[in-house]
Amino acid sequence: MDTSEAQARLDRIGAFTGELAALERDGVLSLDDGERSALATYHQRIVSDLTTHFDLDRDEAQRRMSLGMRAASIIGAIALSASVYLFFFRIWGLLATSAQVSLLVAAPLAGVVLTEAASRFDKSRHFVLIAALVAFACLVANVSMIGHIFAMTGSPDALLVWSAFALAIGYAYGLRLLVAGGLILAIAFLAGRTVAAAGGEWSEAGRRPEVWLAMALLLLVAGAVRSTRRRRFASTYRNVGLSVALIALWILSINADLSALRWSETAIKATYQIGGFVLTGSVIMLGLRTDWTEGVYLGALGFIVFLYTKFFQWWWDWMPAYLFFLIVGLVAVGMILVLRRVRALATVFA
Amino acid sequence: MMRRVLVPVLVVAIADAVMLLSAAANRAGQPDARVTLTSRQLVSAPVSARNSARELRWMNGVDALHGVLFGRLDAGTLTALGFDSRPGTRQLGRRVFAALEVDGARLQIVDAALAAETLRRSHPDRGRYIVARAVAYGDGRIRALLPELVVPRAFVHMLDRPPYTVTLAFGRHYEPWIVAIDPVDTPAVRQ
Repeated sequence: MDTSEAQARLDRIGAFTGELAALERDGVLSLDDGERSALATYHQRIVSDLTTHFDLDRDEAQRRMSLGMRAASIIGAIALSASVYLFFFRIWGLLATSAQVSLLVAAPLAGVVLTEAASRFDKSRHFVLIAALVAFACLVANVSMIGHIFAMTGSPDALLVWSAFALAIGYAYGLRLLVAGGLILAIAFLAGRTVAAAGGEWSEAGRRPEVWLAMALLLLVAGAVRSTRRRRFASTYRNVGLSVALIALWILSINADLSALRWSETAIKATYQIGGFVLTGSVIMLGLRTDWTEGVYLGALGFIVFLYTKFFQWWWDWMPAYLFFLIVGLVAVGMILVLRRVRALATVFA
Repeated sequence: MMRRVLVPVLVVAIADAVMLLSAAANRAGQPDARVTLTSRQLVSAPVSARNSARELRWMNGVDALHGVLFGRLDAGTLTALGFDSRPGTRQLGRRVFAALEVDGARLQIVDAALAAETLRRSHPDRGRYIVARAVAYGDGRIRALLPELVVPRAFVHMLDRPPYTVTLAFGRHYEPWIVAIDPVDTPAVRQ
């Protein structure tokens, strides 16, 4: 059981207890003293077990505070990483090359040790996240600065190292942010290697969205397959794959010059616009059926971006601006009505 | 616990070992080129309170934004580099090798090829021609990938007394390092 599963169990117990009290108050259901006592003892034992092993939110107020602490962790990690970078830049000119390299090698290793130490006393994992992000920042500095000191030519292999480290530490400590970052870096590495294998300059892989579109779709499928061994990060795979795929489709739908296809500009743009609408529509449907909440949000956001981009291309140049925004506003109102209808249907079929 | 720590530690260890071995391999044996440049071609980067290291930047014909040396290629060379000459093709830049001629105050790209050996055969003078990695574009542009050079502590004091000459070696991986920084004997000003 991981933290999210433990939190879900605690939430279910809370909801059950509240509903039971309401039913008893309304006279629908009544437990005798023995049953009530047995139930309370059983729940107390489970809650005690869960809260001993995990740092869980017992109510909405605690949940909101946890979100705030998570945001503070990320800001703290960014600030601490900046501090490490700036300290290194401040002192590295005073050191011999061997000392510079030793410091750069030691920094991420110290970060890993710090992360492990934090995981032992911090059940909430906020300090674990900070330590892991600082360790990752130290590794980024390690690879880029050693490359700089020895005037090495840039290579996509640096992305592979960063990706492997982020995934390793993300999986080890159950940190979704690190896993998501590792997956994005893995896509960038594979795209760079693919472009290089075709004779291109790897750092121009960003100008071939079709390459990373393919990788992102593979990731999306990998996250959607139920038998994924590490199911606890399946939604992270899906969300990263979907986000990257939507960005690639959107870029291709507005700039055909970035496509490797030897089609006309119109054909390329139309193909990827249709692809964008099909993907967002499919994801919204899939998300509604399988309780993939982030998929529904990302799909809806992508659909709106594709739709408004199309409106802009069709009408902005010749239509009065006030009329353009009137149509955009009316479409938004229309979409709210459609989504309300879809939600009502989903409730009926649930 | 060991497994949690072991994998990230191994990633760091392997990555650093590969990088340091690669740097050592680049500098092992006879360098591919050994050239002397002036303090006009390799200028000292501005000193900053936040960055205590001293670095040298390539200046001759260099794009200040990207810190790289640009040149132009003819249609024949572009075809040899694998570019499709048909109009309307959408091609990415290609990673190639460039030959740079060091001739007094001049430093310019004079040739390009897919293989470094091809360039070295055409330009065998290792004291005059550098072979470096470069990126060529379908419109004829080419930029040599010449990174800023971190100056080892032993040479830092020379940067405050220009003019100077910088002797660079380019190794097996066509990556440069500073061999020496020497003062230039400036002639006495005549009255």
